[in-house]
Amino acid sequence: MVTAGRMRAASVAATVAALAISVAGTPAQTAIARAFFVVTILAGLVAGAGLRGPRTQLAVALAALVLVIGQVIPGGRPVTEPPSPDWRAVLETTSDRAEVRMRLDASAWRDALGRASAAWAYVCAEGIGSREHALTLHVQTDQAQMAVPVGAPNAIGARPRPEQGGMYRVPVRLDSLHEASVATLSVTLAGTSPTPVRLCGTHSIRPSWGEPTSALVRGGIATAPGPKGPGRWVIELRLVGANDRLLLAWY
Amino acid sequence: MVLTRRNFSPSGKRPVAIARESRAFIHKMAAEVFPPERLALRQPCDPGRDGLGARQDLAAGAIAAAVASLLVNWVRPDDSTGTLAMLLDLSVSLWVTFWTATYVTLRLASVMPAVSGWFRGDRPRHEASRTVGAPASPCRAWAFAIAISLLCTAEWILHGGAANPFLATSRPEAGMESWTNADGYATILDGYPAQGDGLFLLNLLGLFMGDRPAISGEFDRRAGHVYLVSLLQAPLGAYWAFATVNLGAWITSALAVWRLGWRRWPDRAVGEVAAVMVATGQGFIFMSTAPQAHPTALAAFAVVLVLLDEVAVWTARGTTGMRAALAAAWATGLAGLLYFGHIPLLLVTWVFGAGRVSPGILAGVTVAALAIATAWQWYGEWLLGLRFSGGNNDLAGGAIQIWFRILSEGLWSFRWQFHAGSVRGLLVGSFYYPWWILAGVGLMVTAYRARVWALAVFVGAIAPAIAFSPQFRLPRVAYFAYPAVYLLAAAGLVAIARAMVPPAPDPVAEGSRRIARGAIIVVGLAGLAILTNLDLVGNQSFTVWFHQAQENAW
Repeated sequence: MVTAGRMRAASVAATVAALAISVAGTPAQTAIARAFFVVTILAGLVAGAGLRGPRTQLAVALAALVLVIGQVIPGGRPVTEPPSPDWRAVLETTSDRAEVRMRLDASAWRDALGRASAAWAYVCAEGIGSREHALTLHVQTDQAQMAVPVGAPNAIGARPRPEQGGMYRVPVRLDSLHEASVATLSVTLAGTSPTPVRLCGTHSIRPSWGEPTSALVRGGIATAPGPKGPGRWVIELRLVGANDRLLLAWY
Repeated sequence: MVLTRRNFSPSGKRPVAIARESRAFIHKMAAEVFPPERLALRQPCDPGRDGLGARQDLAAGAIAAAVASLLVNWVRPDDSTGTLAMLLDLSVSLWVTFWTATYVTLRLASVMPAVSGWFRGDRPRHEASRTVGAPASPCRAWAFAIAISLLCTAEWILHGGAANPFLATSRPEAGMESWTNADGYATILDGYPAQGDGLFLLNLLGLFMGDRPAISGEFDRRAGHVYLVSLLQAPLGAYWAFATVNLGAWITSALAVWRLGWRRWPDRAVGEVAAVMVATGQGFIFMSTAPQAHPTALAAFAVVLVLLDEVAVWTARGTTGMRAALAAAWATGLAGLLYFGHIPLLLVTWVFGAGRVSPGILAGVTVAALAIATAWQWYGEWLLGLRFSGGNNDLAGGAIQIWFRILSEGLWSFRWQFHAGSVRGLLVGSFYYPWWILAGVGLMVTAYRARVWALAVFVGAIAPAIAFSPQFRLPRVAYFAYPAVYLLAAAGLVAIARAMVPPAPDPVAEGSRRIARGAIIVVGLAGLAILTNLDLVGNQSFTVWFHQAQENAW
């Protein structure tokens, strides 16, 4: 029969062990940071559990010890850096092209398209300044293709600043999207001696169709854009319904 | 009782005697129609019966109505009074704010016997240390705890990943953000979509895991939450570690509210119904798997409320009282290491403790709790080089500066703030109208002991949200009121069910009536749960309101 005194002593020992395990063999800053919270939170929880009796206190102390051991045990999962949600790539010459392919056969797209009264293409870019025609957006579907200028008049949203990143939107003919199963949107620099423009990129959350959907075509060679991982250009189609309410943002 | 002609016949009695009989009859009828055990909930010695004018909450309501009326009528008209909807919005915002401020002031002033005597119905008295609505049996308790845990888990799964409302409401379709791309304000943790702030917590997480050096970030003050996450990082990875801590906090919150209910409401059903409201609550659904400190802080808030009762901080004296105060201070300080939960907790401690606990003890708890919360800042700055400034670290100070500026600009600017930052919209974003209506009913039928406690929790939680409102209207801050709102709403729902199907003296008949009352409660809870789960069918109205308040819309 374990006495209450022994259980309390074991609780203290487990808490001290948790502290020792937390700080031993770790970088100094990690040890310092962990020590503060072992003393305040874990020891506080163990002390508080004592109000429910020595058995509960010992159980909480052992649980804390197990968690601390789990924290330091070799082979644990490291803290990995997520793919960048916000990166830039530069279109430098007229032959550079940022290209996005979208599947338009998903039910979410079909449902929204059936209710849409207008469609827009959104392009996030940086460095357009006050130019009225800095980029050209090419939209190609099974049904049609079109090219529309993108410039300062198309800026929209909370963050379109002249020399910084922001959204630019241009209208897309709704009938060109009906019955289409795939759309390819590409952006090129406008004019014959253009000023470079940086396009925004982000991570890609939605599962793609088994291959990268965004590409940077430079010198005829297509590469996956983004600092690492399967990034995508922020080039999207948005369907708008009655009262100008956005129904769907799609990529 | 059967009415007969004989009851009312003159029968030769004197008018005084008839009046006395009539009064007794009316009282008896009233007791049959609204028996104390049905409406819960008033107890025979309830001083709240002494008169409506004898209650601090009602007095605060009258004062607030007068001040709101003055501000609405005496300050020159503007857009905030241009339409009836705007006028009502402004009036409610002003009333709620001044009611909160007045009630807090009256409660705090109750430490003075002279002020305390003004309100004979609310004279602070020592808390009876008792548990009045505990589960009938350990089996029932365990079964209910498991059922609540499963319900929380189901909601957590349904609202996880890309469906997490914190993330979903930041997508362009929600109509709230005009700068985000199709994915919303997102990051990808271990391959799973998560709310974007998670990215900024990884440096702290890396510090605790020994993977990264100390790097200042926007959430340095919330490091306690990230430390808890770090305990699960190695086996689960970042996404599931954050999500699992949230789930644990969600279940803990529901169980803690259940515990609070059975301690203060004599009807066992109140705590159980409130626990279901937590399990299907908008705030927890909104957070679900988001890598944020809020669920942990919300759980800490409710757990510390339980602890304050358990250590009898309101009643204990002498050495026991000192130990209770020490435990209260420590726990409150810990809540401050997760998020700013120590502020509402300290307010609750003062508002409810005034008159029950000596001011010296209350001051000691406050200083110690603030010291614990601040110790991390000193420690982190001195030993780790963290800055605790910038971004979210400075928002509270920014709100105070805005209030000073508004006040310096005069009454018009002051009133306009309640239009520009609608407090009504803030509170309705936190809990939609049905919960407020039920809570109002609950407040009416709840006896002194639970009512004063619930009001203390309520004002302690919403006062910081109102104070912060010039900076941001954040229903997730006002959501700290969930133990009070859900318990009062539960009391209201139970009282409505009892009024619709009164208890029967016959055990057989009562059995079927109990089932009928249970069905009414289940239907009510299901209706509420449908509202909080509308995002699952693509309707983000409630989650958008929870994200950024309802503003002036009704």
